[in-house]
Amino acid sequence: MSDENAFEATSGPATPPGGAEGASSVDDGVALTFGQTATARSICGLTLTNAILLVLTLGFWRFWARSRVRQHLWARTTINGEPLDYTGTGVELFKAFLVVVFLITLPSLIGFGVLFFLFRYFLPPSAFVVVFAASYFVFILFTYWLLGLAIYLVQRYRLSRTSWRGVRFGLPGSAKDFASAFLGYLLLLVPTLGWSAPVMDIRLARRFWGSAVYGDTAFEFEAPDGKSPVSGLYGPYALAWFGSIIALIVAGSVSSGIVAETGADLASPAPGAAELAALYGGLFTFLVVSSFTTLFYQAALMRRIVGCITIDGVRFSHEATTLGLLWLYLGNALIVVFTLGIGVPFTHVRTLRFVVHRLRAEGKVSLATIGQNPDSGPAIGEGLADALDLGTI
Amino acid sequence: MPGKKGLVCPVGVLTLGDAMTQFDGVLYDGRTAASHDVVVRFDETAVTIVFSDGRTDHWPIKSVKRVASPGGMLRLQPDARSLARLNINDQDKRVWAAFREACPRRLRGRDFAIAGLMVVAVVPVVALILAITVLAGPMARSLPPGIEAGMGAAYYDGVTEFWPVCDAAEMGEARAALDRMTNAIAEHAHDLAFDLVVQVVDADIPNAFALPGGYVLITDELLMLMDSPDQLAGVLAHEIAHVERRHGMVMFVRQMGLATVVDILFGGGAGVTQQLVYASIDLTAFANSRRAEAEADALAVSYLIDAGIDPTGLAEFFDAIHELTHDHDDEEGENGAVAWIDSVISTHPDTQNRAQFVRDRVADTPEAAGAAVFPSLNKFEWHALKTACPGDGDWRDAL
Repeated sequence: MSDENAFEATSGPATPPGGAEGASSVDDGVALTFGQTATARSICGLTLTNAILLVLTLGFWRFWARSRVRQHLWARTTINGEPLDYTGTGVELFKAFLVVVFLITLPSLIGFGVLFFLFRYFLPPSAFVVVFAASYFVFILFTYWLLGLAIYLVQRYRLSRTSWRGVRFGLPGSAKDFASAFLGYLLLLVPTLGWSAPVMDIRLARRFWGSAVYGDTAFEFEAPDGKSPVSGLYGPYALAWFGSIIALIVAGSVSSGIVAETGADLASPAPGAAELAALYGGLFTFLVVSSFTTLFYQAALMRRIVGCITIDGVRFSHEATTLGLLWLYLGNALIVVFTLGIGVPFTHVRTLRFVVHRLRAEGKVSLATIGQNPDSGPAIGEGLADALDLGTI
Repeated sequence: MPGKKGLVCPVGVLTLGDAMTQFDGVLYDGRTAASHDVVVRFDETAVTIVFSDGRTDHWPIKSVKRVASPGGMLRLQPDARSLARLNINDQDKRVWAAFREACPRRLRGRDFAIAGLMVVAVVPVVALILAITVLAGPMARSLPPGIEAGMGAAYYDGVTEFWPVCDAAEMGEARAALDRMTNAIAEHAHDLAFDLVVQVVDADIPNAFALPGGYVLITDELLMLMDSPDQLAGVLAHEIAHVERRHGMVMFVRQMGLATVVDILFGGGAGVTQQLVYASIDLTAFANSRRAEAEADALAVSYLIDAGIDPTGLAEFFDAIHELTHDHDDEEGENGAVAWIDSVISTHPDTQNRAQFVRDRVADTPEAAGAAVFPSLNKFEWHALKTACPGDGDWRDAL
């Protein structure tokens, strides 16, 4: 019938437009199940190769290392048995790094240095201090705005390089709007003493998931019970907030106790063992005491956000728990410390396993009707995130 | 595993034994998320895909690439850019042999070429770092003194917050004595860019240091350690030498420059590499510090000789320090490795070596012998200085 379409010279398959003909009927009304088969052992060889090359190239290999790790992990993450594909390359990440260094980092450093000397020499000391402090403050704000931008752009790059069943994900929408919202919510934390955090987390999640797409089908972010997505989070957040206060008090008393016992002088410019013990003792106590309440909120937040994500009739849910998160973070921290950073890919495996094994989907989606996403995403990616030391998988 | 993933198959390969062997597969065509049940055949020119409605498609074997899979299947894409995917279940193990015959193994060229390029690219990076290390000195010394003076003033204010200056009222006559000694030495400096400000400060450790911009601070605990004014003269000459050579500023420029470059190039990620790079930068900082100290020692001796002050006082001071910090108990069994590590991470050269250096210089210089007759301060001046702001010696308990 259509052998005239079977060319040797083309690189693409020649199916009739629409693609529904010949499609498996299994594709209508499909429930989704998730699987993850990456293990520490599976990623071990890759980790070692990357570690050696990273040392030999003084770290320049990191862009290719990251891409290969993601290829490995994505390919071992399956939905209904079909793996995800990662189509990003190290070259794209490297180009983005170059762009950011030469167009942002270096000009900023030089510009800032020049401004500093100009101010220092042409302004009287009192004015100089004020102007310098003000411009430094503006610079800090700008950096946080850039951070928001980086977060959005990183995910846009990553989603555009992820495909499933041959159809790519995407994150259209304005990164600048997200960055401005990010900065705004961040600043709001100050007058509200942190109580606006749940609103910030949910609103930013909505901006993100409300824009994300799979192929030509959009994700949506709305609460399953019709209530506001933030509801149900203030309880856990209150616990976390008060938990931090209590942790601060306990840490303070531990620190004072150590100071009393050892006679440490915290104001001394030459800190010794006693001062370090007082400081780190306090810090450690704070972390231990506050982690339970903080992670309680984090788990609730994760469940809530995932529970609000829907696409084409399918709704997701997640079974994150406080103890599960604690085990994840603690284990990852120990791995990083005891492998001197080489074992970071193992932490990615653990994190991925945590996310995927507890992910569920309800409802059925008609896969045959989901078309390709024509937008192939940014040409290069993650330069800003690399410059701002934004760490993710 | 036949055919490394990402491999592009070369042209012209062996004919398949049984070209009609076919395998069941699932195709995703990259236009929709629908799956298509297909039958797949391999030959030396193409991967042939037959749909259930009889349509066929051919992927030229030259551009076909194998894609990473979770296991249990052979996964292919028609070319590097396409999102289409063909999954062939490998329950029939002959599929691997069939694919391997069509697309034989070859080392993945491109990624390792990139790695090779980068190992080579390390050379200019290392050159840049060396350049910063070497150029920091001339750069710092050519900075307008006003800048360094400003920085130094800021440091001075900060440090004297914690370690209060022994002020004029407390110093009394000792102030004039200290100034006289300072001028006697500073006259023989070659090129001082700053006016010296020498202060005694109330601190809880013995120390003396020079801040950028000509500030020299000596702690009361250090003064307590000294037996003779010539020892103080030696320390003062050493610090004045630091000021003349602007070592503080040089260090600052060098470390700032290196930190900036290193952060730009290597920042963005955790890992052993980053730590190794930072550690090596730190080690070179220590080496440079030792070199600066040795340079200051040599200059100090020349100032003292020119000023007619006996440099042996400086050697005696080093002896005293060595006595205090040296643990007599493990002298015999001094571990060579530990000693080497100490020498590498130390910011100052070995104290005994420094004392010996000074004595050797004195022995080599005839003029130095004559200076022994007149100490740098008379008895009354020295007494005034020692009693103006005495330390309490508490730090000895920690030794």
